[in-house]
Amino acid sequence: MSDLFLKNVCKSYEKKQDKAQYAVKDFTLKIEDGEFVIFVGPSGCGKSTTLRMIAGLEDITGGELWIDGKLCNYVEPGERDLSMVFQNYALYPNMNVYDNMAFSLSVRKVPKKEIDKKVHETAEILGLESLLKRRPGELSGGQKQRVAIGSAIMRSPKAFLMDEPLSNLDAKLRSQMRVELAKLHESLGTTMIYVTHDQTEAMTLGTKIVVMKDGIIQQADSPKEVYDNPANMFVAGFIGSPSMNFFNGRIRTYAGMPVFETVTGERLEIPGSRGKVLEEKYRNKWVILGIRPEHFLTKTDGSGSCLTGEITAREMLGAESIVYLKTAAEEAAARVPVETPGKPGDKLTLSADMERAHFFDGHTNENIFYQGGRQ
Amino acid sequence: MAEINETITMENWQYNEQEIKRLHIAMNARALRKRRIRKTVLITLNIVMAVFILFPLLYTVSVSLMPSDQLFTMDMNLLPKSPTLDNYARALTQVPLVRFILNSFLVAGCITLGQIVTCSLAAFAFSFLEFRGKNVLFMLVMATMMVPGEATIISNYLTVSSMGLLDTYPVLILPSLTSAMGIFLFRQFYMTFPKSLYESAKLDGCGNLKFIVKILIPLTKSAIGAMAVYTFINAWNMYMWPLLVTGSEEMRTVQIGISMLNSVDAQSITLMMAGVVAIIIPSMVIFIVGQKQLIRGMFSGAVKG
Repeated sequence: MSDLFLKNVCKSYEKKQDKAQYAVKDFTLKIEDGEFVIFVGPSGCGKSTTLRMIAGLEDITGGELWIDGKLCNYVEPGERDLSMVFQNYALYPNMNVYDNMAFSLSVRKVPKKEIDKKVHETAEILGLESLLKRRPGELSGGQKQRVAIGSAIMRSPKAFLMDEPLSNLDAKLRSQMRVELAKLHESLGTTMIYVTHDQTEAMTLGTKIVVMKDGIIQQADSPKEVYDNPANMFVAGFIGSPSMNFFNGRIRTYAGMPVFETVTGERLEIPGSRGKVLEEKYRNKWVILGIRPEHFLTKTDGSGSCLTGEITAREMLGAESIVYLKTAAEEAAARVPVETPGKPGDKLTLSADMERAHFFDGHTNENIFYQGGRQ
Repeated sequence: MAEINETITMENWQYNEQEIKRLHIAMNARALRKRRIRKTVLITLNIVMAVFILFPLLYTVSVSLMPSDQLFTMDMNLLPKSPTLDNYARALTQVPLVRFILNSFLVAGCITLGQIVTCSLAAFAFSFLEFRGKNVLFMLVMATMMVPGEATIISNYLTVSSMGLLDTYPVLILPSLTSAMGIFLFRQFYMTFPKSLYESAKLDGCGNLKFIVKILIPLTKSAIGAMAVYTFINAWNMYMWPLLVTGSEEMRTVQIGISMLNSVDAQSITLMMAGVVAIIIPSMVIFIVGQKQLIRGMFSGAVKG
């Protein structure tokens, strides 16, 4: 139960200052007690490195790590009172489940009786009682994962660190464990820091999502905020599947209305106050329009925000379909009702819900209407 | 081989049950016959090769059972005409062979234990710990493997004699307490050890020594076994060094003791062979007990298991 505070944390594997290339740069984040924080980003973005720095498995090149108001840069990993769940479970193959779970406490010389009680309690929570005598080699992937989580819980640490704990499981087990992890977080109330590249895990589990790219935090916010109000094009494109559609174009005034004009001349009206603002600040400037696939409507009321394109592919997802369109300007994906007619090669006209569209600055790629500062 | 009638009558995808049964039996018999022939050929070949390779050893055993007058004849004398255990009895009484064996056991045992401890600890540092100059230091250790033992034997002798250790157990044991080969073997083995286990142990608050004792050693038993067999046999077979640094009969190791059998009595080839057979037995036993470990240890890490 504790707060973590990372202040300008940097990591560089090059010893010399001048040549330093940062794996993680200026990472500043406050993690409140009981939060479920997800580090998400493409591979090589520094999310695992950050987690390992918090754990103490990697040295911190610059900046400070505060745990409960105590500077922890130089504290040994074993003394930070954090526990970690590894991607490959990291169970000791020579010990049975009981001993694996008891290990961290027995190292700390906790009395045997207390350990025994704790092991049985934890095993009950995770449904491992019948497996206590087995060795890790005799367990399935899901069971191993459960034991790894069990060993982590045993110590009642200040925070759990999880490094892609579900990525070795098959799809069904993964979604099942995801639910269990969420339940566990609820019942334990311990701070969790979780690294993943799977955005479904990020969206469903986290109370706060930290999107990273090239070692830099792009946005740290609640899942809803990250989805509805992305800070920049990278976040907008990374979160959401299929990813957001982007169109290059300029802001113009057409028939007295502010419009977004694509490079090929299609015009999309921008309603409301946002249109006014854009007209004022960005007239004739390059802007990138972002529309999520679900914000295309099949109803075309003839208003000025329609896009027409040729269907290149169509995916049936059961409850809905994803249609890939080749418009004059760009390729676009749209999430449409299953009944929507059209097969590859046909023309389809969709109207974009411009109220919910995002606009990004053509040069900086920042969200023009982003509210809320970066942490 | 008789041709098998493989045709069966089929009507509307229904076939005659008896015909199919007959076909099963016939084909099964043919497969079985083939397998048996192949096995017989293989075994015969293996036996021939084994006898060929083991011939020196078998001949040694045979000679050790001959009275010495049967050996020195012009006839082809592969097997003793009147086998006798006399040679063994004489070998055991003429020189203190039991004492030699005990000496060798003590020396080889200490060396094995010492090497396992020192090599595994050094290899742990070389594979798990991060420190400045690690690779250079490791290269240096590897480089010592390129210096032949003969090149250092004089200076080693001068060193131990100036320490006043000549003709004692320590002088036989001390110089071999560690080996670059062992460090290399253990390091290669540890390189395949999942790093996350070490990290996990670290987060659990487990120190390096505790990690070695509780996790690393139990998990690298096969490497230790391989190393133990290899080291023990090497130490058991040491010849040059013990010959150089021991003088008295009480300190002799078996290998030297055996050669003494020849010099005490001019005509004692049979006697020596009896001694050789007697001292091969311990190293054979060690090898048989440890061979599985040896082979597994030598090859583990070569391919991902």
